[in-house]
Amino acid sequence: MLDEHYYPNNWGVRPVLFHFGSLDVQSYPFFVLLGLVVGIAIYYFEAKKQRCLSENGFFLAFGSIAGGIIGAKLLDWSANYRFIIAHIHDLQFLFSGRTIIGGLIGGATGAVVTKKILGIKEKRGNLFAPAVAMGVAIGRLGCFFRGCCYGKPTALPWGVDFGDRILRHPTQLYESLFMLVMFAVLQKVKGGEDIKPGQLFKFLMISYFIFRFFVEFIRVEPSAFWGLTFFQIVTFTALTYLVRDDIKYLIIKLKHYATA
Amino acid sequence: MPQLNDQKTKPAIPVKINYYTASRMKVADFCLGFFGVLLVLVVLFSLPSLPWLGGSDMISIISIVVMLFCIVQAFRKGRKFIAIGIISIILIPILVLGSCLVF
Repeated sequence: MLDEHYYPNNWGVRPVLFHFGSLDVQSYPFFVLLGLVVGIAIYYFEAKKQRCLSENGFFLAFGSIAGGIIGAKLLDWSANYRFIIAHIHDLQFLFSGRTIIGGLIGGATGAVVTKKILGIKEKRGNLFAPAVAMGVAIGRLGCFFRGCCYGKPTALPWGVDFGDRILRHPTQLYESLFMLVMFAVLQKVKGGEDIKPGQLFKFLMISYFIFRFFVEFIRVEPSAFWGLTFFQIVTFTALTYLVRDDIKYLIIKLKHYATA
Repeated sequence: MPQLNDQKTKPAIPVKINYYTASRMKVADFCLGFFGVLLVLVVLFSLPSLPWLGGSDMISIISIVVMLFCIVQAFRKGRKFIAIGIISIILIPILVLGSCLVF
């Protein structure tokens, strides 16, 4: 896995975004932090608009963000466990690496755990969904400028050279654009009367996992099982879990039609 | 009837005194946790290597133990925003350092 992912320090479209005095502002931390701040701001203003700002809401947001950060690291460590064990003493390797799939799963788990601890009954997924979509859309720009999460070589006119003189799919920008579209869609449908609490976040997760499953085919990722990458297997498993009720309903319907 | 009297005087659920009477106290506690740990870490890691500390590995281990102790104590004393500040300063480097791929 390391050979395919290795990149030297000058790798990326613009690893250092700008200079602030003697300080080099790295593009990855800049956009990830910007995504986090913008996401929190969207959540805050949306909660304020809907008059549901509360301390519980703050703890729920904090629990989700903490869960997201931990989940993003844990899934990445699971994918690269051999490499992590081999470099356990090197903080640079331990800090680097995270995945948005783990972030989404961890964020949802963090929210569930926080609710259980504090005894919160209300669902806030509809408030979180647009914030998460915009946060990821901005954060992925950091991946693009830094040169991680890149795609396979392509002859398409929008192929990008990340430093090895090979034009590649800018998969980071595909994801960023997808999340921007999702943000617009969520903003459009959020006010609908038939939207159930928490439904928008589930919709965002399902959409992203389907999108990510197909994007993995053009990303530089080694295959884990049956020609699928580790993240494709994770997204498929997560998708199955998310739509389990619909699958059960479909099976009951099919049985009903078969017996009728 | 001493038992009945006891039941009357003791509340069924222990009453928790809310430390935070104003929003600014929450912000102040969050900043105390966040910037307090940041300051301590900056000072600790900028110190010349002290033989009795056993190098930077030992400083990291001591820092983690002390931070965990502070988080537990903050929750016990009802000042949870200090704990949230400490957790935030631990989590942010995990989020922003490096990149999405292990390199």
